[in-house]
Amino acid sequence: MGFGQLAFLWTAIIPVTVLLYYFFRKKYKEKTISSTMFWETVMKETKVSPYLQYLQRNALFYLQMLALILLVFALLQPFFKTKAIAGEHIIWVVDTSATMLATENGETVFDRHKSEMISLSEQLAGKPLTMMTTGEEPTILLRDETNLSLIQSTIENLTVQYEQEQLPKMLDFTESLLKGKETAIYLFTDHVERSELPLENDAITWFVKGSPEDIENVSILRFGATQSDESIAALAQLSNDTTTEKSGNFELRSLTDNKVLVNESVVIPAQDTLDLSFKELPATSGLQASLLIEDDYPVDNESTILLQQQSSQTYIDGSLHQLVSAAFQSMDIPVSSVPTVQLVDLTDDAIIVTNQTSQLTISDSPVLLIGRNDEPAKEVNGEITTERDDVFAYADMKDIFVSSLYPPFADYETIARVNDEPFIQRSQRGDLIILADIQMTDWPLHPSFPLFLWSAREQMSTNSDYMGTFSPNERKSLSLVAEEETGDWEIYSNSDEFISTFQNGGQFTAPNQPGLYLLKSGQTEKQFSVVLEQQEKQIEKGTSFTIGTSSQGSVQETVKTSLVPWFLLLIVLLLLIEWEVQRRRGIAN
Amino acid sequence: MSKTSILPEDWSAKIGRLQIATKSKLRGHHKGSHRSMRFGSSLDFSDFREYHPGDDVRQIDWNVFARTDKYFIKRFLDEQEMRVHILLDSTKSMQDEKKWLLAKQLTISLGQLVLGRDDRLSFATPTDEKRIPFRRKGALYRKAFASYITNLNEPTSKSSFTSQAPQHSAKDCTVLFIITDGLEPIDEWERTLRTLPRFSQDIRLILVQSSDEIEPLYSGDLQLIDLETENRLNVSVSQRVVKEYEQKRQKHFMELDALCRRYGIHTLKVETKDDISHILFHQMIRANWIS
Repeated sequence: MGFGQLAFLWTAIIPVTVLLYYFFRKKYKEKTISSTMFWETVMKETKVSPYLQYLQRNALFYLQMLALILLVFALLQPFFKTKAIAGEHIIWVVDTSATMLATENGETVFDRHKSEMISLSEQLAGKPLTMMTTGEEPTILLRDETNLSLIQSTIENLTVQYEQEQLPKMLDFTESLLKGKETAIYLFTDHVERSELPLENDAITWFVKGSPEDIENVSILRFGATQSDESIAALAQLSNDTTTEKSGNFELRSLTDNKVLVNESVVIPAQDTLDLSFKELPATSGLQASLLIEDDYPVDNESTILLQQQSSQTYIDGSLHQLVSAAFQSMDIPVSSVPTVQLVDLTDDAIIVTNQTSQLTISDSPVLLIGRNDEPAKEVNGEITTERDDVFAYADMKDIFVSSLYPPFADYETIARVNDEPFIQRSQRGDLIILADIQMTDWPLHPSFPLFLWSAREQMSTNSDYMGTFSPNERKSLSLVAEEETGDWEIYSNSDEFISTFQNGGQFTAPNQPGLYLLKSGQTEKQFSVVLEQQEKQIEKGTSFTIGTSSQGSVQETVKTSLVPWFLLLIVLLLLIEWEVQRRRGIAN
Repeated sequence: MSKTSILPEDWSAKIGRLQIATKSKLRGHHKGSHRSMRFGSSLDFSDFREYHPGDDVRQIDWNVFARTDKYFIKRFLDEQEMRVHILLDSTKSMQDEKKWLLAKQLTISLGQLVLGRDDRLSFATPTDEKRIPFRRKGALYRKAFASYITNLNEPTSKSSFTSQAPQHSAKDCTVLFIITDGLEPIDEWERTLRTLPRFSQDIRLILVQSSDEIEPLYSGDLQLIDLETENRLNVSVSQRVVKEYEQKRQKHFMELDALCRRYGIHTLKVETKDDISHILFHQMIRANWIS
């Protein structure tokens, strides 16, 4: 114990004054009477316990003395020295990436970090704590929080988000939180190199809590499959990060009927990879690969793939107006301009934007037809009405003027009209046809034009009922329009467990756990999968270390815990007792 | 007479016509002004009786003998003096100014009544110092007695009154006045009162009480000091304490009264707040002590 304000010792005069007052106080007025005969007997009854009576008579004095002495002590600002976490401002960065699930001795790295955080939180000693999690978007869970129970409940509620930790993003984000005070940043992760940390700021001390144990990991590093006419060929790369040879089974299942297609025993050499290839697999919508080897990190021992073709390239007919390619580029979609004559030779998995009507029949890949080169256009005038369709998710067609239209294709679905004349049509296999040249409308001048092109491309590039592959917690705008009656999309896991809901494609966030998911809105169902990022399939062991200025070199420092509030509480209590004594005894006697 | 009179003006004139009333037959041997039951030498004729040898021949009524030739003795009523003893409590408990004053006033008044009737008065008070007790007869000594009492020292007797009272009582007195405050333990009083009747047939106990004793008006924390025993007692006066005090006090005097009744002693309580004339002309006359 020590004193913060020894200068206040002069206040000891106050209780001493009271003490003197009581010393020199005339205790009893002397009064001579003829006989104390009758008084004596009166007093005898109250003299039963002399000690008690003594206390009774002097209770006020003792209470007052005690209160005043406590007051003097309180002014001296007594404190207890306790050990606490060093640093004025404390930031905890919690890595919630999938690799934190690596298990050692039955406990994941993440759980171990959590229990360490709980024990550290008890040493906070009232210092403000900022807690954040890593990921694509670093999240602040607590900001300058001092409420211990809130801190601990937040720690308890932490879950792994499977995202990549995105260390550079996190570091940039942390920089923004610095206040110039001495800051201790605790990094709860598995592996960080010293060189990765920015060390230019003197006020920061880094406490890195790594995962020092050797963790055995075998993983399906890569898994792919291609579909030819009747059969599927699959390729898997298995990796062994351990120093011993690992053997086990590799299994391939069909997602449609959950039938085991392949079950093969594999032996992966130490710190090496093993490539497996399978051909002539029966046709299926998707494959699930499982590596049945005991290791400390089971998350990466499974991989799912959906066999859907995905077009990535976009080719634009060179004869089309410049505005079309400009619109694509404004949406950051890479496009290639191709002369009209070469369009025929293009690969299958590409989107072609052209005005050559013949491409609808020639090309195997989706075609966005803008205008027709085989029919003349005729004038039209009127308002545009659209069907409820995914391509119009972001494109509002209201104020667009169209001067003339080409004749429509008879058996195609019409999704937009000008005055009951078909304006935009969709073929059975997914081609989109705009029955007007760029020059016939002011649409390219509207912001809805590039948005429409983006939606159209998104829709054509993916199969209509397969949304693609996402990384955990990935945010992506999808061109999706919910069915009218339900109004929103719901995400279900492969085992029909409800995950989340969102209203339109712009709000889509992928679930955090890897696996296959279903997107539902009324009768519409779409599939998508979430897979671990490649980086999350490798586990490195990291050490715990501290980098920082020498003044904060130690993890702990002594903190003065003030006892003043307790003293004040005691004084108030004493005053209450004093008041009660006064009340019972009366002021005069 | 070093001090001015402690009594009202013309006090002796006012009380001059009063006398001590008593049924006690015990009288002094000397001639006095009170009619005796015995035959004596006063001028009042009583009766005649036949002479028997041995009678004083001087008492033979020769006129009767001349007429009847028989010897008759003429007898007269006897007039005898009354012996009154006043015993004044002079223990320290009487030090209270008003109490002491009233006690002295009472003593003087009673003494003057006695002396004014040519009766024999004796006065005693237990003191530590040796002092000649007052013992006089006749109206001549009224002033002397008054000054004797007025000049009495402050009461300083250390021993208790009850233990001293028998020593200072005079034997064979007609009336014995005891002036005290009665503030001594009841068993001690009993011991004393038991012995008193042999001194006199008519014992009168005057209890002088100060108003403070009857109704204490103290407040606050007091250290009460007993004048006699010098007991120190810390008392925080509260209503409860005062009530208990009053109960104790009442009980004490009721017991004292009961004792006095048992031994045929008359009691009279006087308070310091009352005037001496009130006590004498009302209380004492009503009690048939004086007439």
